[in-house]
Formats: sequence, structure tokens, C-alpha cells
Amino acid sequence: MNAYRILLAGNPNVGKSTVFNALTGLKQHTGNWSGKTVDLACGTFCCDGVSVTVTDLPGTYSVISNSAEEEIARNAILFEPSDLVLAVADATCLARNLNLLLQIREIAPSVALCVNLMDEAERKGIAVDLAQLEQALRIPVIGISAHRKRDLSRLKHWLTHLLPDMPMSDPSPPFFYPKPIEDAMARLASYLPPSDFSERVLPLKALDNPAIAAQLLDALSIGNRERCAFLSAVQTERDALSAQGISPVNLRDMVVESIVATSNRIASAHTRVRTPASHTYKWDKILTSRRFGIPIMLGFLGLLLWITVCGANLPSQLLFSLFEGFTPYLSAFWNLLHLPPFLASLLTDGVYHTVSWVTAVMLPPMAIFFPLFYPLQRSVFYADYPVLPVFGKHTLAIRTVGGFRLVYPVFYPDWNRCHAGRHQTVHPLLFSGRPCRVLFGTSAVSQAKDWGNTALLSGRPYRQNPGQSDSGFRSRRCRHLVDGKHHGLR
Amino acid sequence: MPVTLASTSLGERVYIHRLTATGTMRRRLLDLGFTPGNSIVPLYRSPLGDPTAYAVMGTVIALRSSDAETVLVVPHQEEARS
Repeated sequence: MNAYRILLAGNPNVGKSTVFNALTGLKQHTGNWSGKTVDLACGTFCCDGVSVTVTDLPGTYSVISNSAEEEIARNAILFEPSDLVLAVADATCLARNLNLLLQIREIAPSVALCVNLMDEAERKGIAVDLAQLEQALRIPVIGISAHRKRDLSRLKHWLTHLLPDMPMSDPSPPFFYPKPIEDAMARLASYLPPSDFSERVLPLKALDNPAIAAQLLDALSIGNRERCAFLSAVQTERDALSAQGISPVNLRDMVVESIVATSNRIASAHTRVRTPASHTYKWDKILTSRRFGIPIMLGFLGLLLWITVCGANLPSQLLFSLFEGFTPYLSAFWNLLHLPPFLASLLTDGVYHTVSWVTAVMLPPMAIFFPLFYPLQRSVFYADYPVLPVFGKHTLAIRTVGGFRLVYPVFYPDWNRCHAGRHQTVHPLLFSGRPCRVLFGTSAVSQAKDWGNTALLSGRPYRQNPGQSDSGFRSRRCRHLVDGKHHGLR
Repeated sequence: MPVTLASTSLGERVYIHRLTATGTMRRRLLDLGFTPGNSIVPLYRSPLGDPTAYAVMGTVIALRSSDAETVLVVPHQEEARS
């Protein structure tokens, strides 16, 4: 049986872990907050006589920068031997996802794209032309909706047919950097023996990120003299670029800009967006507005309470008279036992009456209120503004005290795509990840406890300085990747 | 004339001119799509005025005003890259 290894990469929250679980049948916990996958989970599936080992990489927006997850993802792509990097992308914001894909495409020899959430994109009026995308990117592309069983088995078959004769991705780069950088890269490439990295990755990294370049050079077994020659050439090129006004910071900006511009261009060329109905936005605005939000919510809760109270009256009376109906039988029973009258009265008028009264009063409202409230609690989106004054200071305090990465309590109507700029994605744990309409204008107070959980669940040690080692939260399995003890070249 | 992203009003589409942030924050902003030439629409502002949510590359991103001040924007795309 042929065995293959694939790496799953993608932005946070594109359904990578869902795809991984569905492919491998493992129960890796999927969650609606980003940076979920800090560990590199592995699993294997067999299909059509092919065995495929899948490794789930942490979700990242890029593999250029230096955050811990990005480092793990990048080193895995560069140094883990794999037959294919399967990039998972979100069809609803393709440009953003293509940004990562292009970066991966540059450092991995064979890449395929799996566009997830096709159904949601459709719902939002976004049509992705997969065939055109395939042509533009020159890699295999498949579109799925990961929560559909049918789509996942389609993905499995697609992969198992793709892997045995996986063509190397077209070696010509999918985009070019500004000319001075390209020229410098070409000159540097001439110093290197041919390998997967020699053409573009290593020259670029040498200019941009010497630490990774050193790791790549280690992997590329070249003699000391060639290495020294290359490094001095790198220094010359860096100086030359600086002389042209391209300092290391500028260089990084230009690199990122060209990638973003390319992904914007490709995404806008191959997706059609029907402008979403503006009434959704309008409703969101009204329901979350300062003026109407809280009154609407209170009105809603009031209505609920009114239904509960009024609706409960009749069943309460019925229950009470039912319980009353039993009293004569109870007295007869006490007589049968020859209980003294004071004890019988204590039991009947005291215990029995109280219990039946409490039950008759409490049970119907509960039976009405909870079934009504439960679906609201589950399906309804608790927006938004009123949360901030209550929890804003609190969470900010946690952030500074704990040194933890934190979910900001800033929630906006389009839940699914809500991000906090500084650290990570903001995602409501309370909702199942579907785009929700606003029904309540504010967060119910009872959700305060969930905020605590949100902060805790997403609270992983936040490293300001990527150079520091904190092995605490990284698994042993992936630490070797970070430390650069790689498996050599593919 | 570039203004800071923090000073833009809601619903008004602007284009990124350049970033003045440095270090980690600069890289983070670039990763999130705050690159010169990209368009941004400020969508919602929290009651206390900070943070604000912006639509960038099909995603809503919330920035503190201290961070939004490091993003310089212009009203027209042609000016963004000059």
C-alpha cells in the first residue's frame, strides 16, 4: 500500500480541524476561537488502497512573521517531509486566505487548495470560480463544505487520486516581488546548489530573515566555503538594497505588499460578490444601537416573562385543584394509620399543602419559561455594545495582569468574522459559528460566566518576544520543529 | 493628505497610505491585511469610542484607537501609493 504524508495548513477558523477530524476520524477538539491548534496533531486514513497521514498545522495568517504558531507552521512546511501541503481556505474571504496560500506556495514544492465553507459563501452571495482559481494559482483546487459528509468523502477520494501522481506545483513563481528584490534574489540563487529552496525561498529569507536562512542552509548540505561566499553575497545585496532605500523593514513591507496585492487581484478576479442585503446591516444597527438595543432586549425579556406568568396561571390552578383533590384520601390514610390529629394536620396542612402549593406555583412557569428561553439562548446572537462598558475594564485588567492572550469583549454583528487586531481572532464560544442575526440587543447578564471561560480557553501564554523559549505550551512532538532539528530535505 | 485611521468616520471607505507602527504590531497589522493600497471601512464603534471595528479584506477587525492611530489613510485609492 502506498503511504503519503500531507500537511493541513490554513488561516485560523477556516475549518482545518474539522477537515482533519473528518479525514482521520480522530476527535481533535475543534473550537470557534483561533489559535486552537497549538499542537501538531497527526492522524492516518486509508482510502482506495492509499494510506495518508495527515498533520494538522496551527492556523496562521501568514508564515512570514515570527509568532510561535507561525514558526511552527512554517518550519513544519519547510522541514517536515511531506508529499503535499493542503491549504484550507475560507470561501467567504478568499483574498485573506490566498495571502497565506501564496506564501505557502512559495515555500512548499507541492500545494493543493481546499476551499471550505462554500455553502456559507453562497449564502452570503459570494460565488467562487474554482476552475479559474485553479488556472490562476496553477495548483489543484477543490471546493467543499466541511460539515457535509458527502463533501468530505469527495475530498478523501480527490486526495487519494491526487497524491499518487501529484505534479510538483508549477515552478514558475505565482507572483513577483519588486524588481530590485527579484534581482538580488536571482543573484543570490546563483551561489546555491539546486534544491527546493535554492530558487526563491532561501535567497528571500536570507535577505529578510537570517535566522531561517541559517536553518535552511543547515538543511542544504553545502560546504563551509560556499556557505561563507553565500553569506557575504547576502551582506552585499542587503547593503545594495539599503543604498536603494530598501531597508530590512521596507523589504519586509514590500514582500508582504506584493503578496497581498496578488491575493487581492486573484481573489477579486475569480469571485463574484452579490452585494448583501442591506436590511441585515440595518437591523443589526438598530438592535445594537445605544438607544434601542437595551429597550428592545428588555421588551423581549418582558414579553417572555409575561407569556410565562400569564400562561402559567391556568396550569397552576389546575395543578393546585388536582393536589387539593387528594387531601380527603390523605386524611383517610392518616386515619387508617391511627395517627394523632396534630401529626395528621402537620403532615396534611403543613408538609403536603406547602409542597403541593410550591409545586403548583413553580412548575408551570418553569415548564414554560425554560423551553422558551433555551432556544433563544442557543440560537440568538447576544450582541454587542452594552457588553463593553460592563466587561471592558475587567478584561483589560486580565490582559495586563495575567500576561495571557485574551479575547476582547468586542463583539460585532458579523460574528463569524470578528477579529481583535492586536492578538487574535475574537470568536464567540456561545454560538455555533454560523452567521447570526441579532435578536437581543445586548448580552444577558448570565453570560458573564461564559466570558470567564472565553478568556480562559483562549488564554494561552502570549509571547511578546518570539526568541524566548517557553516550552510550556508546545508539545514535545512539535518542539523539535521549532528548535530547528529537522529531518533534512525531502 | 493622510489622516489616521482613528479619525475616520463610520461607513466611510478609505485606503491605507502607510503604517507608522513598528516591530511586532507592524507585522501583525500587515498580516491582518493593513497593507498600503488596501481599502478599509470603519464599521462600528464601541460606546466608549474605543475600540472600533473595521472591514478589511472581507473580515471585521477591531483595533484600539492607539493602534488605529498608527495607520495612515487617504480617501482615494490613487493617493494611497504615492
